[in-house]
Amino acid sequence: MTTDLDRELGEIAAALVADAPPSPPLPPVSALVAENRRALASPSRRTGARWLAVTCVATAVAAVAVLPQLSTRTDHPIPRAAMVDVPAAYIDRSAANACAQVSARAATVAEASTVSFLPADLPSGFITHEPGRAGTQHRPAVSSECWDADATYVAPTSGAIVSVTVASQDNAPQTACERSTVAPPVRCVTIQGRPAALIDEGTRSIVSWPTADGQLVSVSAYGLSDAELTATANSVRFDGDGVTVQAPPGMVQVEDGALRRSDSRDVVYFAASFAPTSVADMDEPPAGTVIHLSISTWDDLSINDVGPTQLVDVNGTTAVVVITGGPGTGLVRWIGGSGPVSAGVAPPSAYITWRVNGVSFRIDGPDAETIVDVARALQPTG
Amino acid sequence: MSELREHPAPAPPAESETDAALYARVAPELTRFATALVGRADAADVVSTAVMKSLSTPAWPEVVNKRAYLFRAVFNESKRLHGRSARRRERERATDTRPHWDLPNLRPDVRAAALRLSTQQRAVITLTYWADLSPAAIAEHLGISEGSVRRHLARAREQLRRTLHDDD
Repeated sequence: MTTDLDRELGEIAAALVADAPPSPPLPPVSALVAENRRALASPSRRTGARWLAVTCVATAVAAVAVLPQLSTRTDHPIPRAAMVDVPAAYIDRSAANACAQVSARAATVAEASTVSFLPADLPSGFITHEPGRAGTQHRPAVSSECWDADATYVAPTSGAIVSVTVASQDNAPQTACERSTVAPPVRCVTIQGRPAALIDEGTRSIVSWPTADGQLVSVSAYGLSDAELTATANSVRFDGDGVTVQAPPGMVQVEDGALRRSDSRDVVYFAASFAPTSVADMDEPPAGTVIHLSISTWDDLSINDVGPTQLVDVNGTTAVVVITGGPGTGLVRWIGGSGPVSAGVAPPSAYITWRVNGVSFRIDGPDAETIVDVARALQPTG
Repeated sequence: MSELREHPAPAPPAESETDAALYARVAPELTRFATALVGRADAADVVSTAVMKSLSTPAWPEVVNKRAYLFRAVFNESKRLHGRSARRRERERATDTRPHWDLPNLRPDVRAAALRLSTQQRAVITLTYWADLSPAAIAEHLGISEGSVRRHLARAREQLRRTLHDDD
């Protein structure tokens, strides 16, 4: 059997690499990278490089001021220049999704009826890109722990948000920060006595650390000072049933922090998308143009990226709207695919999420106004 | 088995090897490795990003095993692709069943098992059975412990064994 397994694994390995595309050329900016490296090594030119970073980020931070009611952050440190050698915690966030052998099938009529909603009217200029379809995931019980617990707090008047996730993981506990080649400016900090990585993404920060027993805690925040973020992270407690956290004063809890297992359950999905007429016939319309509707029986709020946040009413239910990019937000994407790693403005995007009777709703789209309109126009179709 | 191990690790580079020469030497390997981790569509982007990040790190000139460093960069970048945003996005769009890999040369049952492998398992299997690296070398390439390498490999083997037994 061992020989058979080795043979099969060998065939899998060969198959996985067989469809490799041509190797990408070394970008012609390699000389510039080397130049930047030398610049960082030179005291006089390091100042210049930092001024460049300061200018870029200051422009982004200044732009936040024009976003009414959605940004209060004034004391966030300027992200480091991208070329700075960065210590980073080794973080693995894929294990929680890999621990169950999930199978999928078409949803039954009864299942589909619980999650099938479509907007009665689409925003002007949009047409259906992918028609709604329902499916069911069967997630069998597994021996490895597969769960996460989330708690999210929002300051409705300022737009600040902090979201905490504790996820079952399989990380080896760390005793010190490890160096990583992952480039976003990461600072090594200590949270609850553990080595943690704090990533600056302009006006957004994420600090995460593996716990002593290998679980991963991640705290994402927008609109919090570094001191508030650190204090919040240090207050995170997980008792096996849920996560609690002491958020800064004035913030209200919108996600309850209860532990949810991701195995031993069936999850029903409904998904559809809508695109501007000009791009709707493309297989993959340009990023940021499409409205994605996702409804499921996960029974949680679907909060991941953070940014300027509002609470809005969707047909009698409070929903969370998060702007995740665009000019004026101060949110940064670290770009490194075609040149030196640098800070870029996160492209315009937003999402809205709410929960009703065990059903989770999420709509991603180009801006808050559009997705709120779609949310309020949803009607059951099942 | 030997026919499966036709891509042994190349000889260590000469000390004076330039970044461009190093890249020219390892790019095909890195691209195949990235393909095994994230699929064809994202492989080139992952390699480009990982290489540029590595080259722009001030510590790069002092890196002793640059080949292993680049593999680790590709591994980390692949996980980042599957990370914070992607994890939730994948969950939200679970009904999007377009596969990242076609794997037409595999039997359907083996293909199904392969598609269930985690990023870490794919990385370990690829480096074990395709690049013919030892667990210690894989640990260095991926920046994880040798025990983790053995654990990922054991889990993949168990997963596959269970699949094959289920079909018996």
